[in-house]
Amino acid sequence: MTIYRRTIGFQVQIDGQVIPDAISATCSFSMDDPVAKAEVVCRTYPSWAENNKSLVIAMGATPGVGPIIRFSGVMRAPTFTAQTGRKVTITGLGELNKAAEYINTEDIQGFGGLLPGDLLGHSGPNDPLTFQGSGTAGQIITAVLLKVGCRFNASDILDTGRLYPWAIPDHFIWQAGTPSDWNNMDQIYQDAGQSALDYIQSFNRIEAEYQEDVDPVTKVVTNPRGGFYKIGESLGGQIFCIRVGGRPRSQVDTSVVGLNTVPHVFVEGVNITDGRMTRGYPIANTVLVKGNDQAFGDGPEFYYLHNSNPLMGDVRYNDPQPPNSPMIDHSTVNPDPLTSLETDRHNKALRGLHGASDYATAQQGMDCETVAKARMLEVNRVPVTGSITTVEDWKLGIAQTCLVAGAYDPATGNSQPGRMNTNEKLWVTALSIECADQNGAPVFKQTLTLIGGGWPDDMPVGA
Amino acid sequence: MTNGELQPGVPIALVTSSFNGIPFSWEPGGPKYEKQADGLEHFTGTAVLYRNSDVDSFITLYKPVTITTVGEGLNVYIDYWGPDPSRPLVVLGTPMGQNAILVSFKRDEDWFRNQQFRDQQGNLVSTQIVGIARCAVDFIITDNVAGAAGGGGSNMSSSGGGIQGGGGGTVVGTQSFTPAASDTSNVQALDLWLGDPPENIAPDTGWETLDYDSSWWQAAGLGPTAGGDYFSGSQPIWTWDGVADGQQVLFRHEFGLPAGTISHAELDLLVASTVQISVWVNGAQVMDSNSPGSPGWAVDVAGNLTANGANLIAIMATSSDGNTAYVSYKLVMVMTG
Repeated sequence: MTIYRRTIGFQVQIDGQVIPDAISATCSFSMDDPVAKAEVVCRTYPSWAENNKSLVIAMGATPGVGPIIRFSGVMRAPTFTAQTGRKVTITGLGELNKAAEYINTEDIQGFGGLLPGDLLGHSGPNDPLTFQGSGTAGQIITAVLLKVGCRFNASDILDTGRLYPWAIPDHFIWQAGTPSDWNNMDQIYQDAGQSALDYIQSFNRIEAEYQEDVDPVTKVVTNPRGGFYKIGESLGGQIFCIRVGGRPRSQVDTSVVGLNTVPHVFVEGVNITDGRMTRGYPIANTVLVKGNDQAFGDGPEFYYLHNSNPLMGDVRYNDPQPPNSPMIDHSTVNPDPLTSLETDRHNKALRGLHGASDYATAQQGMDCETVAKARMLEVNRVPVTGSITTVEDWKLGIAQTCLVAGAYDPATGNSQPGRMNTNEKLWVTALSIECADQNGAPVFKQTLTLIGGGWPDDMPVGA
Repeated sequence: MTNGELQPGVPIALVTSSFNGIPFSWEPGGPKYEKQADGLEHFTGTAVLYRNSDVDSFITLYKPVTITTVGEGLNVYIDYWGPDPSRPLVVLGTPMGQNAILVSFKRDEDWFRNQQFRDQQGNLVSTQIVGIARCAVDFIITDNVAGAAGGGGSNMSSSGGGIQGGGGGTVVGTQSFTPAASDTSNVQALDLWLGDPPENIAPDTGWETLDYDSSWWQAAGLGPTAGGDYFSGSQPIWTWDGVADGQQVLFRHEFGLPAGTISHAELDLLVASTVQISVWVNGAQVMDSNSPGSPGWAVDVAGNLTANGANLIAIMATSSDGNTAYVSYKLVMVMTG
């Protein structure tokens, strides 16, 4: 048995002043709802507190990463309780809330809103030959975040490198609620406009990447990997956009504790106080992704991908929620962008023909094939989902990779499934950090919501 | 203070325990010593205190904590606000050198009123015989390994029923601290293992003395424990070069001590079962080719240390296994100002 003695640090500041009687605080982060949330309970309402005042929460354990800033945002909606225990509950909204609450009202060129070119400083319409006025999703998202006043690090905003829009800018407009008829110079607002976060997430739905290893002789595909670039907010208001999807393959994230770098490894009986894991059933083995309809009369661009898995076999089970989007310009990854619009639509279901290098030289704009293959990684697998609670004070964050194991030998790296029947890397999709005072003693814990799962890398993709 | 008093008002014949130097007794039958469901060892019972100031001191030492036990008690986390509330607890007849936190403290006011110790004016008066207060206490042991094996003994031993420090002074008013513990930041290591051929080079003469210049040595690395125990507050150290069967590694840990009187100094040692160590403190060998496995070994080094000066712990470790090897230690001291 090892005994860890830890001092817990906890401080809440509103508008730069410390709340003297904070009882508890919870900071929540999620990939599904990228705006960080917080809830602070204090005994009395600070006289200087007011909606939209800055709210900063620091908490942590020593030994551990210590009382670092976990949440940075603004306070909202104090709720007063006058029952047996007088208290005030204050809600916090993270840095990304600025994007959630910013509604576009600008329509510079009369297209119904802002074009990527408007955001990137290009004058005039998009040019499909020179890509004047186009930008990568990262550049566009960066421009949007700057416009709404978010504090972020540009190097945290990653993307596929593809340029948008490719040809037709209509579906890339940040809606202002104005008419899309540019001939109407007397613009009036007809709709509420689109929030910055919604506009960003429209890119997140199509910004897919996919890679696979192809045997040059047999054309057998192995080691499929990829995902979608998604925006999120992590500790201290850090905004990021990174690729998440499929089986986690990246290195297990680490924390610096004192002088040591500690991998985020959670082991039953060692640092998991509560845990639950579900090994689910595959959602589908078939994905049909539809893209933009170029109005040639034969429907939208699309890509049909049919795989198999040991549970569903070859019987077709369609993805019920494919990421269709008119922002997807092509059917397949590598046709001639100007001459093969008709033919590439018929070049579907060519599994095993594209290696990683193909995607590195992919055409501009997104294609249904890449989106379908990235989506397939999410639906055609045994999803491993669940949550664990730990008292470890590591610098955890959403979109991180951790290892959950039944037993783990730090010397050999070997681990066993254990009672939760889990022994694999998982994504952190949501995180809750809680610090509270209970009868004069502190409670500090972190709860992670996790997802992972997938077929083994060496399992061939069904033909 | 009379001859029969350990301190003014504290009868030497009755005191059987102390916490952070505060002397007290247990009610007849003594404390209950047990491992509870939280995975920790507890001393619970009714403490007899002899002075009002001691009652006040106990109240200030009381610290509510949150105890989180993981799994089957493999790891136990003790969380608290503020600085580490662990203090030396001496309970005669039990292993010495343990640190404890007073997690429950409740004075029995009814007992005091029922004693009817009153002067002629009807005022309550205290007595030095039966104590001033009965208090329900609960101590959790936070360093239950230290000295548990009793190898080196301790100078905080019973002497005529009182609590006397080994240096002759009482432990009242002293401070407990850990000036040195194995870690990768303060310990230097030298790997003597050649590998090919599989043998060790001889260490330099005088490497275990303070005068030796080891500035060219590497910082100690983390040793693979394979799940083995090591002291909380320390790191299991070895060398970054890895582990080999027959490998010898030297460690040097220099540290300073403040001015004052050393009343208690206990070097707690714990190594992998496949490791043997020889230990020197300021050049004097205090352990020779021993393997202090779990739960550890305690060596009295009070006479080897120098207050208000530089000190050195030097260890030569030999592994008889190619996979697992580590050394864990910490120096627990009590000094009077």
